[in-house]
Amino acid sequence: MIEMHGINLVYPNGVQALFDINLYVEKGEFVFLVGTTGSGKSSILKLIYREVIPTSGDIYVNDRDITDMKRREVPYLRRHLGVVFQDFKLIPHKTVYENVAYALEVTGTPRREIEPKVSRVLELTNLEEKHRRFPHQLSGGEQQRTSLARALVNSPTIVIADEPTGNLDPESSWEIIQIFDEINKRGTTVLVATHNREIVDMMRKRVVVVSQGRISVDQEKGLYFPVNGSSTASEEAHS
Amino acid sequence: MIHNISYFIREVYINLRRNVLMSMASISTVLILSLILGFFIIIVVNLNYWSENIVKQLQIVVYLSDGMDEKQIGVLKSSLETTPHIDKIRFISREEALKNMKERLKNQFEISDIGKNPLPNSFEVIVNEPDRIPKVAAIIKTYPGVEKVRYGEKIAGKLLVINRAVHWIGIIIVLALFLSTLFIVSNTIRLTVFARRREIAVMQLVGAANWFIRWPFIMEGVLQGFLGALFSILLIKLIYAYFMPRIETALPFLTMVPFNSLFSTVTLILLGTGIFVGAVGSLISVNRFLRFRQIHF
Repeated sequence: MIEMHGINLVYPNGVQALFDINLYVEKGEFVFLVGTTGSGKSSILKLIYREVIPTSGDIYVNDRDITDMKRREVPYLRRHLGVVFQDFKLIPHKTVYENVAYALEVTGTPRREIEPKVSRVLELTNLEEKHRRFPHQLSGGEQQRTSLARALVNSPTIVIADEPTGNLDPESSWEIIQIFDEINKRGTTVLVATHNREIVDMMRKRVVVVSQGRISVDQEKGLYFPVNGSSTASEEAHS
Repeated sequence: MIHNISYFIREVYINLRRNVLMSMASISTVLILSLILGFFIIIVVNLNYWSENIVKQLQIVVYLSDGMDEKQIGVLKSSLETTPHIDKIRFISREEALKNMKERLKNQFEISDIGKNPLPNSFEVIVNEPDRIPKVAAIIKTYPGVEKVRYGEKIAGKLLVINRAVHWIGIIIVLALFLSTLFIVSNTIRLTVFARRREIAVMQLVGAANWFIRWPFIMEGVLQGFLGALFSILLIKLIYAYFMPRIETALPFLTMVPFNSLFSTVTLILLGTGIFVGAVGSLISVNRFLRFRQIHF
């Protein structure tokens, strides 16, 4: 599903963000990426939706090598991915319904197919009653659910979330995580970069600890501070 | 495809409505620049028209001695006809000359009370290349029965130079104006695109193809360019209609090109420029945002 072989990533300003990353994620897995700010979690996610291109190494997404992908092919890769951010990235002058439908409109989905798809995903994210509201009329949790609905409406095979609960209260955070868990049970691969220790410890999913641009720990049913992990990774996460 | 087109039209409509101020900014930029361009074209066309008229009037006037009979005039005429580089010869009798003068000056002052006709018989000689006028004039001067040859010796040469300069400077300035219009309009449109960078980023994020992102912006640019140019044409028409008769009254020796004969050219150039500038301006601006593939907000 997702394979990274020997990825090095140097940004144009000369900072090396990732060192020799090897990561394999199977179809239907649920993975938490944890680590401090600047550890390289976001860079790993950006590589997957091809926001950045690695300096060296190969990445396969859905069995397709995306490192040598042409620019005009990128949109078609992204249609199989759902991406969610800490800051929601909603369009302020569009309603909840329009924000979600937008993802289908811009990929050329016929209008008669849009309505049922949007309704289904608004039901999943529990937003049916708010579909006429604008983002500024919603709570943070509702905004993030809208952004999640938009990510899911194309029925992606992989969902990527970069600190999805970073701006939310604990209750709203749980609602979001429940939805991730739900779609994961239906077969979608989920990758979540997070700082939220409670959630990671509660879910007991695979945990990948990223520290100073390297993967230091990779554990099934792991914890935020891995019990058997290397001490350095633990200290990194503490600081 | 039909679905896409209806989507584009809807997007353009919604965006124009929601970004009224930004659209107004683009439209008025096109309007102002196209006014300037339009007036400049009109000025250049008029200058060209005047200078060509003046050059066309460059001719040799051959005044005949008094008291020549028809036979002598006939001899002179045939020697003029055999002179090289002469295009056209027209005999103007003294009576006709007087009539022409009265006609030309009828609005300025009354000359009907001049008793005796003071004008001589003459030939108007048009030379096929204005540059050769001085040489031809020198030859004519040697013919019998020629009293005086006039061709505005000094002015003629200068006029020819000025005529050519007006023509080329006009073309260069119109081109420069065209380029700066493109530059300014594309910058204005960049502001409207910048205002919507979130949408562009979201579109890229959910996998919209680049052409799909571009089209609504290009259509919007075309529409704004078209509207700006259209308003400027209407304004130009009004202003020209108001000022043309006043200028002609103030400067009776200047004949201005009537607007109707300019209208289709100016309309075509300005509408073409407006649409082109709108489309290319949008394209440049959107491409700039598409190239920054980093999804920043």
